[in-house]
Amino acid sequence: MVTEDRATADRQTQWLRGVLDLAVLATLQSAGTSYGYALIQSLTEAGILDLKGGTIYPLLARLEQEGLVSSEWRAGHGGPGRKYFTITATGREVLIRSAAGWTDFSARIGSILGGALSRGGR
Amino acid sequence: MPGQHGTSLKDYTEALTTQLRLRDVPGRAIGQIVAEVESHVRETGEDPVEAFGQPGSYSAQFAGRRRPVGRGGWLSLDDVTFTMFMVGALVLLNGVLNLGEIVNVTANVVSWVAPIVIYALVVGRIDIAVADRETRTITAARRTQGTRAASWLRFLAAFATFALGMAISSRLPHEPVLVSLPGWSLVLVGLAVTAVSVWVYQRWSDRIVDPRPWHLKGRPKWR
Repeated sequence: MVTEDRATADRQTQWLRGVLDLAVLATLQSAGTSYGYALIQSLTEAGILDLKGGTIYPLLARLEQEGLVSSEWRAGHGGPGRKYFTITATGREVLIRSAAGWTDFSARIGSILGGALSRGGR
Repeated sequence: MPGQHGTSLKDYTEALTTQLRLRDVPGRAIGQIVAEVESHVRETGEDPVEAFGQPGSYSAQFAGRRRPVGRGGWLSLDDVTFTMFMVGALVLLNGVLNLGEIVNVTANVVSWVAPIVIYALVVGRIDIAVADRETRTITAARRTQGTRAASWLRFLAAFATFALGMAISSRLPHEPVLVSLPGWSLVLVGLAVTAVSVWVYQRWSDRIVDPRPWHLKGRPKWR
């Protein structure tokens, strides 16, 4: 059972690898501006579990390098300084284009897997 | 404060900095990466190893993005500026000790320049290898072993360079005089060489820059 859970978790990690950047961009678009830990919390609340700082910060660095987000160090609420990220105009364009692509792709995969599910249910 | 893995934030960021340096990540990028780790760990209270993984594997995610200026190859800018500074300091010291006199420069000058060059080129690399071993995986036992090994190596290196200088000095002739210079001119040359080495290092070396405004840093800047 543990092995099966592990296999499921590994598969979800693989799925996530391809779309986590889009999930981060979408979260930033709806939040306006946010920082690493708050992004992890938002994504966890949305059902993406086991996200660590070691995953999110290199991803944000890559998005910044590609010009999809911008960043600024500001004071936190009584705590240490935080690096706040904002989605750029290019980031919005990429998000809209890629979100449409992902929706189309997932619908096609969904229809294949949906067929397997209904056959398995018979 | 040590976390679940027994790793303090300070130990973790130092090990991470070393690993990022060894992977030729530019100084400005290192500043950002380390500041993010500090900010995240201070805010969440998580163990740094738990949140980011071992310094060696976390640093691997940032490797190979851009090769910085002044590193790589067999001779780095840091080696050159270190050698210039040390030679300049020795010339300055010689000048100060012989301020009102004439200093005769002979072939024996090699006996104190050569050990500095050898120290910068050879021993520095052994030190880097020890730092790599020490910080790739952060465990208390390995850090203690690595720190002890690094201390011994530094001691042996200093002893070997001193012995080398003495050995060269005993074999080189004190005649003929290559050039005779007044002490004050050595002071000027020494000052100029050290000043240039510091300026070149400040201007061109790939230094780590903390990206945070001073009031957000929380503690003095790291290495």
